[in-house]
Amino acid sequence: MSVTKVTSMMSTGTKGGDIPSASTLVIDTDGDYFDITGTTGITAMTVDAGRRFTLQFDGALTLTHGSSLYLPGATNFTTEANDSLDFIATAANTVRCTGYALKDGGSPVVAPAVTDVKFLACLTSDQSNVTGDGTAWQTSSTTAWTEIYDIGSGFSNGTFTAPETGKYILFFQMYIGGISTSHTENNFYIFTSNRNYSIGHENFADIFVGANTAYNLGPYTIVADMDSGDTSTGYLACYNGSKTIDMRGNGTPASTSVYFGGALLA
Amino acid sequence: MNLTTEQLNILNHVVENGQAWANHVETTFPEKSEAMMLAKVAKYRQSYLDAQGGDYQTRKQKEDAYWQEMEERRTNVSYAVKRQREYPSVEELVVALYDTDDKAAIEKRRADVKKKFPKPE
Repeated sequence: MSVTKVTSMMSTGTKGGDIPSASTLVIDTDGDYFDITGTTGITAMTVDAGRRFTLQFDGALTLTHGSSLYLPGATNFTTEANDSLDFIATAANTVRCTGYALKDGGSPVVAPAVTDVKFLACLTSDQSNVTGDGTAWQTSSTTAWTEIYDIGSGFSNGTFTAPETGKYILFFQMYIGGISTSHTENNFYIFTSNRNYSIGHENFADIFVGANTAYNLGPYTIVADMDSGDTSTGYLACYNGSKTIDMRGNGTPASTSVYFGGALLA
Repeated sequence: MNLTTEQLNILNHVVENGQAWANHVETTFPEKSEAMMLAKVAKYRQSYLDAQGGDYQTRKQKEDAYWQEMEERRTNVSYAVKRQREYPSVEELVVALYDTDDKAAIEKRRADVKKKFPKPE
């Protein structure tokens, strides 16, 4: 029996010279493993049929999916440095990605966008003497939060992080105690990474009568433009008195508890 | 997260602390943090370039100026406003009309406030 050596179908594992990125990438024949330098996007490859080869990318560039450059998930892929992709040329100048080893350990197939993002968290217990003298209190000042729901897993320890870019409705209610008539000035905000929303400015002397030393404010609501990864927190600062003001919580979305929530609108 | 100088400058154009933003994203969404960062940088790159000029301010510089202005607005008020903020409420004054002890306490508080914020000569 005779054996025909088909060298074009074999991968030698030899590292070839670096190849500068180009819209049509020419796969050299001095090896089967190449570093791709530069950041020019790749839309096609020039390669003989039957070759198997591995490309390691030295930087960020985009491979454009198409019939002659078939990528996992049939979608474009943006590399980062040290990503590796394996290919086979199923015909001359027609390649399919058959494997990957990405720096982040993930997949080149982009996860479907999270379209359902909702959260509601209630302060679990009273936070005593947190403001009154101008000290700022934010929802991120404590980890004592009871999550009623957190679809999209964006809420953690008083901070909401947007999993997706979009418009979010955010609401913040405060129930505060320990107030005296000297607490005559107060500012409330909903902070987001892109901008801060001033939602209230009250003089408690105008609000409180008699023996009332506690009051609920809000819920205040805004619609915020957030990019994926942006954060949001609620903020309160009271002035002109002593640091005797409490943020009160009981773990429920009641008028007698601080709570913070939101949802992705679109 | 490692950022280039341009990436950091663009993030600082949009958020108060670009490095902290990137680090938070890396911790919260490690599997897609790089893509999130690149997307935000790409989205605001032109805005950053358009804003460059002699009086350019980062987001942090803008916020610092805003908070300073707010503080000045709050503190740079007349003695009358400062007194008004700390005087007993109308409710307390009404109650004091019918209670001698309360009235004495109210008068002391009013005197203390006047002493704290004296009328300019």
